[in-house]
Amino acid sequence: MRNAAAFLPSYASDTSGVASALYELGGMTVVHDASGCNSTYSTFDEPRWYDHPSFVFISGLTEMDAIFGQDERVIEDIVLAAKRLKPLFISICTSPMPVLLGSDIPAIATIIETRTGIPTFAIRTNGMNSYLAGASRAWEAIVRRFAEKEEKHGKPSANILGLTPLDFGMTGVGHSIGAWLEHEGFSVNATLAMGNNDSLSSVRALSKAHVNLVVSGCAMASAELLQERFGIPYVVGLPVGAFSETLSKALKRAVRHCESSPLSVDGLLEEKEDGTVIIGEGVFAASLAKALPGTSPASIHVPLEPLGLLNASDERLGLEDETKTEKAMAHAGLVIADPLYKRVAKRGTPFLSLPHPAFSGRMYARHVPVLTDKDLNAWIREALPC
Amino acid sequence: MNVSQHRERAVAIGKAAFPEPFITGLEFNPPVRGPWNIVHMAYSIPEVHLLYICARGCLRGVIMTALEMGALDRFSWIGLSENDLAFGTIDDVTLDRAVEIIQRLDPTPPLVLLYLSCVHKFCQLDAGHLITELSERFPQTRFIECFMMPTMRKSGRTDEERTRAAMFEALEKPDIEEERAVSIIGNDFAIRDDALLIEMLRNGGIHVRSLNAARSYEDYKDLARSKTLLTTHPDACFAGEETAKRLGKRHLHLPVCYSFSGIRTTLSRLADAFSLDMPDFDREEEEARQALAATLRVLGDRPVVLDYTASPRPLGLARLLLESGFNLRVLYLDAIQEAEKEDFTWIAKHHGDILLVSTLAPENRLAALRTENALLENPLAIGQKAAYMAETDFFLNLVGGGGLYDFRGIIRLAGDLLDAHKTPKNRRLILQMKGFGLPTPLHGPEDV
Repeated sequence: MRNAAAFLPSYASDTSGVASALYELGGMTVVHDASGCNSTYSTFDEPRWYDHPSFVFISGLTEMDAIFGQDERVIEDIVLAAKRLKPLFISICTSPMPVLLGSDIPAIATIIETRTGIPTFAIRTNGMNSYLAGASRAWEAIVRRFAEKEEKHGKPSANILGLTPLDFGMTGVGHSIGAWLEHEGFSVNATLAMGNNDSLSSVRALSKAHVNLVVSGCAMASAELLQERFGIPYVVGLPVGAFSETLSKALKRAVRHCESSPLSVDGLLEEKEDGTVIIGEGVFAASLAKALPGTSPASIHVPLEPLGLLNASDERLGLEDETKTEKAMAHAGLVIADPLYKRVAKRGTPFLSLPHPAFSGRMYARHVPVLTDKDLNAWIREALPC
Repeated sequence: MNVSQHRERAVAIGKAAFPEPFITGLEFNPPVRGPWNIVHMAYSIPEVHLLYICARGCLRGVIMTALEMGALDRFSWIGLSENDLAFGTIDDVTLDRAVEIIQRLDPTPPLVLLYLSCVHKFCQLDAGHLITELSERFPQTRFIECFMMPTMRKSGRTDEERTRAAMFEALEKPDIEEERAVSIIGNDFAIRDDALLIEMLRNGGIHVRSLNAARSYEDYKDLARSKTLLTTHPDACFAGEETAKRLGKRHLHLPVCYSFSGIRTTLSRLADAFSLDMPDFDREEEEARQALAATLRVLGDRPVVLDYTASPRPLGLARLLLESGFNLRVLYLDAIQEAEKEDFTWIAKHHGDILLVSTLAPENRLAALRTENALLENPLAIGQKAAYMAETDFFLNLVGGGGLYDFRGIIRLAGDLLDAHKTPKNRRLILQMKGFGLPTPLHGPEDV
């Protein structure tokens, strides 16, 4: 039962991913949509909405726009808003209707840039993929447009790529990862893209770093682009528990040999009788699986696009399918997942709640843990119900 | 008078065009979550199951709405993919997945509201066929087509109106119809029990049923037993008309109203409809006047601002406040209902400097660009959007009229306004709670 559910929610969509990824960069994001995308995003997927203004709007597509293709109306509206609000850039993405209608968003972006002089670009979305796809394309576009060649100097430095509240909530995980990097001998050059104080200038300076640490699959495309354009290697993974040591070695090796390390999920996709099953975003789930104490690693179930994983083409990855998720948990000795997955877990299966805002929204926002700070053994002991 | 539509975010009402004062462009979404949406409305039906079919981006909001109100166990969804659209498989895929979902539900729900979307409209999905097929496979369940088609929001009836109507399509003609009974349908919030309308009905021996009071699917079905359907929400008039026509009932539409003469007319129509005694209501009218006057004495010149989500008749409410002497300064709205034309014209003529401010304008994103706030010293807001826009913690947390009706509603409103004047609220928390009056996962600052 792919892409449908009787009991589970869906993950945040690609348009939310775009808006979230670009939220702090000083631009204006326009979702070409009738109504609802922005309300959904700003209510459930964007914890910064109330306190930190950012320019995210919808175009307000109507039936007449859909029938007569009134692109000029959208262009004029964006130009007018841009002249009044003066964003540093304009990004335009789309919900399903403009996709169905064949709206030429790159052409619209070009016209807007010509009229305003403000860098403007299209980000391909359709409202049908997950936030990972949207955030990935948004960062790829922003890096392509704004990253500049800068000289590297001083001690080895790293960028943290892949931070959004959709994966990590408002927990300050960026500071935690930054502190870990400092401890491992790296200074933090920039983060993409949460917790920056200087918005777009961080993007411009991304190339100063010696290595990129990719902490969510949504930063994979931008990491590859930074490698292609500036020769910066990347390492994929989240520094949690025992896996931190592996990651630290990989970062140092990457700097020394200019060699990237995607995240392998070898051995993590096989179901193990009575084993631990981790459900969630691929990089997070795989990192945690490799970090958990015990002789055999946990297995992972990734119901999202498996971005950032070496074995991304494995057909067991990337299925948002309620019945398959149910099956993945059927013989588990322990499930670690967003609490909403309990709804399809067998009664009595030990379950460790790990809220994922991109799935459960703000429902459990205050319970999102910062695992990068934690002793995983202690966390499991404390979090597991007796 | 020189009136025209404005591309600016604010215009004095004396210079504003009716019914759309503003040319809307890009739209901002203020962080104000109290007003109900089509999910909240539909869950007024006990035991109903909602099945939404659309792209993930559109589904996410309605799913999260159900989750936050504790109703996810009565919610399912089917996503769309580009392949579904490109290869013309949308009908088959939708049916197959819907069947799989219903098979997984235990117990099988008595009623499934099937929400189709803009994409289906433009792909010409055959909703009738889908419902026929599902009805044959699950004969114990009633399937009704509902609507989440925001692309059509300016093309005739809104999703809210059509949803309110669809919600009563499962009602069937009863064996025995009760002449001396009325069913109140289409309201988000129950009319308060102390309303004169309710009092008149009960005193007259009329059995009052209401969807808001239904606790089981049987209660919902029983709404069909009343001979008369009564609607008071302007968006429910269509529901009343359609349901009455289909079931051969009488429909009485007595919309919320704030003018004293209008209230008398409304109650008089009620009396006529059921051959009830019509009290003179002089005392109640005087009490309402006194209550407003007492509140005004305390508020004095304090600026008052009001938004359209506070009441289904915001201009009617605004006129009441102005006629009672309140210092109303700003109305936050984006369009005006045809039914409010008289109130609009009256305010434009007598208080032409009152500012209309669009809630959707992108400039609202920056508090610094809400320039009217500099002229409002310590304002008192009525409605959540007004509180947000005017940045005040002194606000009456009123959504959709709050079930206030007739003179008794005005008396209560005056009292609540006084409380709001005296006691600040936690604006940041309250405004972000989804669905006024419903369960919320937000309980403190750490949640938002």
